[in-house]
Amino acid sequence: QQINPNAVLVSKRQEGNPVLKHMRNVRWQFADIVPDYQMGSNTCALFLSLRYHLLKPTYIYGRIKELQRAFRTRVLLCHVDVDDVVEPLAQVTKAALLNECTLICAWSPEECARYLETYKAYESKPADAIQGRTEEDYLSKLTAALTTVRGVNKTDVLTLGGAFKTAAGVMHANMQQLSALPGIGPTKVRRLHETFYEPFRKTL
Amino acid sequence: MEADVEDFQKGLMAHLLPFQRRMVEELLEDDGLCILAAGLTWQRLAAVLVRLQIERRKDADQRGVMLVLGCRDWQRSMLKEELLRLDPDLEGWDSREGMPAGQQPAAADGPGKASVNTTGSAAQLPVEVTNETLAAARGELYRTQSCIFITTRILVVDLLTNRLQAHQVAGILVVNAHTVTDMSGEGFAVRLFRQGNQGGFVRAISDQPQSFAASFSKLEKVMKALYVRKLFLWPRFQAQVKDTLNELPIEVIELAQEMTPPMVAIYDSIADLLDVCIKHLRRSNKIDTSDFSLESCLFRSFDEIVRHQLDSVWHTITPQTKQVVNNLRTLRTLAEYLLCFDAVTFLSYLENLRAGESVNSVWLFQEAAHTIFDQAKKRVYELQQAARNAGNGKNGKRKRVVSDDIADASASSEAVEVVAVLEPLPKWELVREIVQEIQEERDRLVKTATGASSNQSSEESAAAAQAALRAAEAPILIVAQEARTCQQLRQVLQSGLQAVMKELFDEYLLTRLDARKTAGKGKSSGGSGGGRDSGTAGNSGRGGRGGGRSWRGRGGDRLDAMRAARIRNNPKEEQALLDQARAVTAAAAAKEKASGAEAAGEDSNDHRSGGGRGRGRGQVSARGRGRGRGAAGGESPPPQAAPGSTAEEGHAQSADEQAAGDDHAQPSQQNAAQGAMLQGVVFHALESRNDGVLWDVQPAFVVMVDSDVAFVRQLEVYAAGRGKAALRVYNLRYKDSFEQDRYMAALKREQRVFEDLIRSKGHMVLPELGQDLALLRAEPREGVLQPGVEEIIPGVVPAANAITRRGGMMQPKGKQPRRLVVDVREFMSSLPSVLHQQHMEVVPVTLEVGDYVLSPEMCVERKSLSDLRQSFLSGRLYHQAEVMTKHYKTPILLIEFERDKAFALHATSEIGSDINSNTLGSKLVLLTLHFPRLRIIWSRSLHATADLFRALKANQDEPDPAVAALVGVPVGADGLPAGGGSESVVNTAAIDVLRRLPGVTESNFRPLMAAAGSLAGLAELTMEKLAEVMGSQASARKLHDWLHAVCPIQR
Repeated sequence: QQINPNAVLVSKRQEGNPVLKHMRNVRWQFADIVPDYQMGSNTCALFLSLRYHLLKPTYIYGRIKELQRAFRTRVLLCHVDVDDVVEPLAQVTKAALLNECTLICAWSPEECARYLETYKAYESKPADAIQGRTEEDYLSKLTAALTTVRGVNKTDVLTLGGAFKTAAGVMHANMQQLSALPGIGPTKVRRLHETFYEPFRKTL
Repeated sequence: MEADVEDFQKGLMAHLLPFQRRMVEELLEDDGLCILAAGLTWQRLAAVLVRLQIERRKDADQRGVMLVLGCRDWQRSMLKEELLRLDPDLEGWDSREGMPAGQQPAAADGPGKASVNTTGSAAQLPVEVTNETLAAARGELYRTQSCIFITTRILVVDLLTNRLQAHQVAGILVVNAHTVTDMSGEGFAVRLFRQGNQGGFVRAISDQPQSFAASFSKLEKVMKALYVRKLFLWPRFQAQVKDTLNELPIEVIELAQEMTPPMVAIYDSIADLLDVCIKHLRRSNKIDTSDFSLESCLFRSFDEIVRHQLDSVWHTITPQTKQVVNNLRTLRTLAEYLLCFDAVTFLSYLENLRAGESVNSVWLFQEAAHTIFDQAKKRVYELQQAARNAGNGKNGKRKRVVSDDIADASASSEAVEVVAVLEPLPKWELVREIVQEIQEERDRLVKTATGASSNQSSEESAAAAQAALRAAEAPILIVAQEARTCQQLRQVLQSGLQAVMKELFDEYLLTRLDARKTAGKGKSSGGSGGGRDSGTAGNSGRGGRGGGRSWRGRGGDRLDAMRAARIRNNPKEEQALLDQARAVTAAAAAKEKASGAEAAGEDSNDHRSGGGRGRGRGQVSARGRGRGRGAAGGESPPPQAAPGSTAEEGHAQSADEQAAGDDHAQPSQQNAAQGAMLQGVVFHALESRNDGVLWDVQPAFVVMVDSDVAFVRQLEVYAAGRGKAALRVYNLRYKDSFEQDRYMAALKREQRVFEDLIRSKGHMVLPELGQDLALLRAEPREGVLQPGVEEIIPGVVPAANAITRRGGMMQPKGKQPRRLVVDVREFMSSLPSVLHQQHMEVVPVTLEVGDYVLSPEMCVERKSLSDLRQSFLSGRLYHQAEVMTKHYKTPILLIEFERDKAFALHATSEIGSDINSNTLGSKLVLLTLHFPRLRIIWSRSLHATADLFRALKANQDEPDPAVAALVGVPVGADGLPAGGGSESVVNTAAIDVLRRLPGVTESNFRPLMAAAGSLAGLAELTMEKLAEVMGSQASARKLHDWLHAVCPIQR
C-alpha cells in the first residue's frame, strides 16, 4: 500500500476507535507502525483511555518501551473518560513524565481527533503564533499591549487612545488624567500607573 | 509599667463609643474573629489594637512584634490615618510623647530608612514591610519594631527561612479575615506562626459579613484556618450599636429627582436589553434562573451569582451564552454610568463601547440598543436643516436629510448643522440648589450668631449662638461615588451647568476632529483608520438610498446592522460635526489671538500643572500639535476660563480630600459669587475609600449624591461621636431608578447574612482548639533551620526533615526526599501552602527560571488556565519554555485547573469543525512541537499536584537552592553572576507590555529595559537613543514611530 506523506498513519490496533470517525481535517490511513498514530516523521502518539488504564495499569509502560527512541515528539494522548480522574491520571502523568512522553489530555473523541489533526497540520508551522506576535494594524497592537494589564478591556483601550492620542502619551499619563476617564475606576488607574511608572527591575 | 499600660488603655478607650469599646475589649480578652457590619469603622478597632500594642512594647518585659496581615494598600493608609487621628488625644495624656505623631516621618516613605530611629521611646507609626524591603533590613525591623504592616507573601517567606522566628512574634492581627482559607497566604502564615508559637495572639477582623455567606461553611473554615474559636458579631441591629447610634438621629432630607425623558428612554431600553439577555440565559438551560429578576441583575453581585452557577459547566456553554453573560455585565455598568456620567461623556463612552464590542455581541443588534444610541445622542446634539430651514428645527424634532444621491452630500454639506442640546445631569442642578440653600443658611446662622453675641442677653443664648457659628463654619461635604463626578460637581458649582457642558462638548468635537485627521493620515501608516475609510466607501457604494436607513439598523440584516454599528453616522452628520468642531477651533483661535499674551501665559501654566481634566488633555494634545497637527491652539482654554484656573488646578488634587481643604478657600477674583458657592465645600469620592474623611473634615452638612450603606453607617458613627452638634444630610436619588432598590437590597442582604451567622454561631461544630494546636505541635517545625537561604550548604538536608509521615499509595517506601525549591513570587498562590501542609520542605528562593525546582533535573512552570491563555498571547510561555529547556533536563509545564471549575481545557462547543489556531489546544500543540522535551502535568487540584510532586521526586536527588537560584542568571563581565546576591523587584506587567511592542524582540528587550527604566521612560527616549540601545535602526524606527503615531479612533 502506498504511504501518503500528508496523511496521519494509524496503527491497525486503533481500528474501531471512535476517534477515527472524527478525523476529518486531515487524511489518515492504516499502516504498519509501532506507535498508535504517526503525525509526521518525528511525531508520534500513543492513545490511552483512562478507563482502559484502570483495567490494565501496566499496558502503557509496555507500549512506551516499544517506541524506543525513534521519534522526537512522543505524545501520550489520554482520553479522560472516567469521573474520578485524580488517581489514574496521576499514574499516567508519572508514566509519561518519567518515560519522556508529552501528555495531552482530551475529554472527548472529537477533542482527541482534533489534537491528532492539529499535530499533523502544524508539523512544520513556525512558532510565531505563540511568541506574542500580533497583527500588524495599529489598534490591534495597542490593544494587545494594553490589555496585558489586568482588567483593561478593548473599550478602555479606545478610551485611553482617544484621550492621550499616542501610545507614548498613554504611557506618560498621570494618575489624575487616568482617573478622569470614563469607565476606568481606581483599581485600573492604579494598575495602569504602576505598569507605566514602576521600573522594569528595581534593585534594592 | 503594667499599670501604665492599663491607664493608657483606659485613656484611649474613653474616646470610643460604648460599642466600639466593647469590641476592643472582646478581642483583647480572647483570640477571636470579629465580624462587623460595613461602615461600623473597623479601622478604629484595628487602630486601637495597634496603638495599644505599641504602648505595650515600651514595657521591657513585653517581647515580640505584632504583625498586621492582609491589609490592602488603601486600608493600610487608612489605618495609619486613623492612628494619627487617635494620637493627638494621646499627647496630653502621656508626657513622654515628645513629638506629635503628625510630625513623625511617615514610615511609608522608606521602610528601609525607618529602621534607623527605632530605639527611641516615642511611639511610632507601624513600619511597612513589603517586597521592597531588603531582607537584611527586615530582620532588623522584626527585632526592634513593636508593630509592622507586612505583606503575607513576605511573612511566609521569612517564617520559612527563619529570618523571622515564630517566638519573636507577639501576635497577629488579620484584616479582611473573609479572604482567609487554610490554603491562602494568611492561613499559611498563621499556621507557621502557631507551629512555633502557641502563646501569642491571633485576632481577626472582617467588615464584609456577606462574603461569609458566599460558600458552604465558610465561617468554620475561616476560623479553623486562623486557629481561633471565638466569634464576635457586630451587626447594625445589635442592641448596643442600636442604642448608641439611634440616640441622636441625624436629620436626613430625602430628595427624589426625576430623570429627564431621554434618560428614562435609555433606562427603559437598558432594562429591555437586560430582559432579552436573561431570557437568552434561561433558554440556555445551563443556569437556574428562577430567582433572577430584572432588579437583581442591576447589582454587582449578580455577575458573581451567574459566574458561580456557570463555573462548573463553563466548558459546556456555547460562545453565545458566554457572550450574553458578558453583555449582562456591560449593560449593568451602562445603567450605572447613565446615572453618573454627564450626557457627553456617556455618549463618547457608548461610542467607544460600540467600537470595541465584538461582532457576536447580543445586545448591540437589538432594537433597544438603537434607542439607547439615539437618545444618548439627542441629549448632546441634534441635527437641523441649516439656515434656510432653521424655522423647522424649532419644534425640537430631529431632521434627517435623506438625500437620494450621497455624492451630493459633500456638496451640500451646509445642508445640516449640529445644534447643541447639552442636557446636564439632573442631579447637578439639584446639588447646585442645595449648596445655594446651605450657603444662605450659613449666612443666616452667622448673622444670628453675631446678633446674639452682640446682645449678650444670656449665657444660654450665647452658647446657642456659638453652636450656630460652629455649624456655619463647618464645611459642606459632597459625597459621590466617582472621583470624576466630584470634579465635575466642583466645576458645576463654580461655573454653572451650561459652561461645563459646553466645555465637555467642545472637547468631544475636537477629539472627533483629531480622529478625522488621523484617519486621513491613516492610509500611509496602514492603521485601522484606513479600514474605517474603506468602510465608509463601502457604505456609499451600496447606493445612497440605503445609507441613511441602514444607519438606523432597523433592517433585520445582521450584516447591515454590523456595518451600521461600525460606521455610526451618516456622512452628512459626520460632516456637520466636523464643521462644528472647526468652528469651535476657529473661535478659540480667534479669542486666543485677541488676548494673545495672557492666554499664552495661561497655556504655559497648563503645561506645568497638567492638572484637572481639561488641563490634562490640553497638555497631551499640545504635544500632538507639536508634531504638526496644525490646529493651532485649538485646545487651549478660552481666556475667560482664566480666573478659574487656580481653582481648577485644585481638581488635580480633588481626588484626595486633604487638598480640597486648601483650595476651597480660594475664591476667584472676578466672579466672587461663583466662588462663594464653593466656600467651605469639600468633595469626597467614595471610590477613593478614604473612610476617615468625615472625621478629618468635620462637616455639618453632607450632600450624598450617591448613597452607600457603609458611608451612611459612618455618618451615624460620626454623628454619635459628635454629640449634640447639628448634622444635616441630604440624600439625592433618581426617582424610579434602581438606586434606592439597590440600597435597600444591600441592607436587607446584610441583615439576612448576620442572622445566618448568629444562627450558625449557635451550632457551629469545631474541634477544640487544643486539639488543633496539639496536632500542630506534633509536627516538627519545618523549614530550613539555617538563618538564611544564602547560607545553606549544598547537598545537606536539614536533620529535622528526617521525620516523615506516610499515607497515600503514591508514596514510595524508604527515606523520602521532600525538599522543593520554590520561587518567592509563587507564595502569592496557594500551592506552596498545600505543599507545606503535605509535609514537604518548601525553600523560598528567587528563581530566574521556573517556579518550582523538584530536583536538579526537574523544573516546573505553573500556569493556571487564565495564566496559560495570557502567557500564550504574550509569548511569555514560549520564552519560559525556552529557558527551562536550556537549563533543565526535564522541563515541566503544570496546567492547574481549579477545583470548583470544570476539568477541561476547552468547551465542547469550542472544538468546532475546523482546526482553529486560536484555541488553547492548538497553541499547546505548537508549543510541544517546538519543545519536544517539555512535559505537561494536567492537575485537577492543588492536592493532586502535591501528590504528584512527591511521586516525581521519588528517585531523584534533592534540589540545591543555591544552585537553583543561579540558574539562568546572566553572567557578568567578571565571570560572576550579574546582580547575584542583590535583591530586585520585577514589574512583570510592564515587561509583558514592553515585549509586545513593535520592534521589540527577545534579543533587545533586556538592553531596552536597562536603558528606559520604565515604560514611561521608554516613551521619552529619542530615536537616536533607541537605535543605539536596540542596535538596529530599523527596529528602533519601528518602535519609535509606533509609540508616537496618533491613535485612530473608530467612531
